[in-house]
Amino acid sequence: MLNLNIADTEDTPSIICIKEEKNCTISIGGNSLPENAAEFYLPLNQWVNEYVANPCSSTLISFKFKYLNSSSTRQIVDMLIALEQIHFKGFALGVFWHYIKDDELIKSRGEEIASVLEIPLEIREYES
Amino acid sequence: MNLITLKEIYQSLFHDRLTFILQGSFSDAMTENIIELSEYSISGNEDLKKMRKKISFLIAESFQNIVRHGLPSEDFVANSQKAGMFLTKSMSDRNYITTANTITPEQIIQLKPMLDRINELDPGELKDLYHNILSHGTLSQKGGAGLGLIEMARKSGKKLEYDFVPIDKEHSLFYLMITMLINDLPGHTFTLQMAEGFHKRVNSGNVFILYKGDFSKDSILPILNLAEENIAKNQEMPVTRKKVLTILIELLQNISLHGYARNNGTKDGILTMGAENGKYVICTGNLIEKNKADDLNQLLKKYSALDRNEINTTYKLLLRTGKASAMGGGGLGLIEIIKESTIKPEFSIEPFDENSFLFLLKSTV
Repeated sequence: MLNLNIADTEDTPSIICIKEEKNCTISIGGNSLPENAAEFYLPLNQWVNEYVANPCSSTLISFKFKYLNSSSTRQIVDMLIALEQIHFKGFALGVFWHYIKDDELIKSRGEEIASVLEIPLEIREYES
Repeated sequence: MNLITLKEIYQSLFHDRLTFILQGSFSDAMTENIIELSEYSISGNEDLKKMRKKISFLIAESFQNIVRHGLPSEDFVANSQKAGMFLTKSMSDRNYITTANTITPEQIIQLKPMLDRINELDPGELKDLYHNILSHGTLSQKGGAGLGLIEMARKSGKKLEYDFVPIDKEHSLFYLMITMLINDLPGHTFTLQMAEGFHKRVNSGNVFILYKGDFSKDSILPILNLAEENIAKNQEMPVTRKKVLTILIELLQNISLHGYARNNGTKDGILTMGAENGKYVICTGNLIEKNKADDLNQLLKKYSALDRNEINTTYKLLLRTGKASAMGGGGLGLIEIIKESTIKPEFSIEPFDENSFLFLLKSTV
């Protein structure tokens, strides 16, 4: 399947999905404030649905948001719930939620999302 | 700002396409955002569109007037009598720009004769004066030489209205209003006295941003940028800044997504941002369809009855089990606003006209 590469804008994040032979990485970062989050995240959702049917032995997902509107939170959680299948199938799955130092809001959003998932989500702080 | 006052202000501004007032310490960086807001509000009106360039020019000039000639921002204290103000008001066939900034008695001595002279001249004479000063005049310390005022008069085609309102022995507020009319037909008139009254009212409500107009992506982003600039200047803790902007995003997009579209297709509403007892206060008001009012009322009542722990639990339950709506959200916005506010938000939902209700919300951060 083709890789996905969506550049960021003032109000939407960058999305990069790279599937290699054994490893796959999904990276999403920036501001996520699309009014129509369904439309914006559709390519990613389609990509993930196809991927879950035939995943790599190891998948790494990385989030690095600055701002996240509630519609985006809904889309991200739905995507992660879909990716839980990989874990249940026995494949390795690492999910990392990065927040910039002192950003308690993004940190706590990550913790809330982690608490409702059936896969581990690691929260990591980074300096600017 | 309380919800009753907000409702009254919204009703008084209902027929405006755009009313935007900004108070505080001003910087050049804000000019672009204000022009974007103005251009967006004009974009839907064929008559006003012809004046677009002039309006944008005059906004920039007026803004520069405050930035260059107002007292230095170190002197500025939010909501004190020395606050500078920028107000733009756009109706279907006219546009008003009003500014206020603090000046000294010495500056009044220079300004008043200049303004009176400009107001006496016809367009040809104004053009000559402009070129005369450009060629021969001494530049002022700030580099303007009064050219800005002359250009304002030339571009608007109307007299510049002004007033000096004493604050104390050392300072006065200099109000300046530029009027642009598409035609000379009678219509809503907005006078300088009304502008001063409006400024006073907004000031007493401790409000530093007020926006009344259409809420869509094209207006939301400039508003967010202006709010961010304003908050940055107040040097709030990063946590508070983030919370304020996050709640602001949800409130603005709430109107854009769920507001009732008026006849001209706009999702009309009102936003105020201000301070109360050291906390930020964000208020919004928007119309909603009559048949959605009851559900919203029930939902807000339900959430209002929950304590902080119960709100967090409800949020997590929604995260796991909620379903995305057509636009991709899932009803998380309202509960996020409640969750991130430091005091339980106040709200009201009341009949507005035969088709709609007015939904008002006040969030404190």
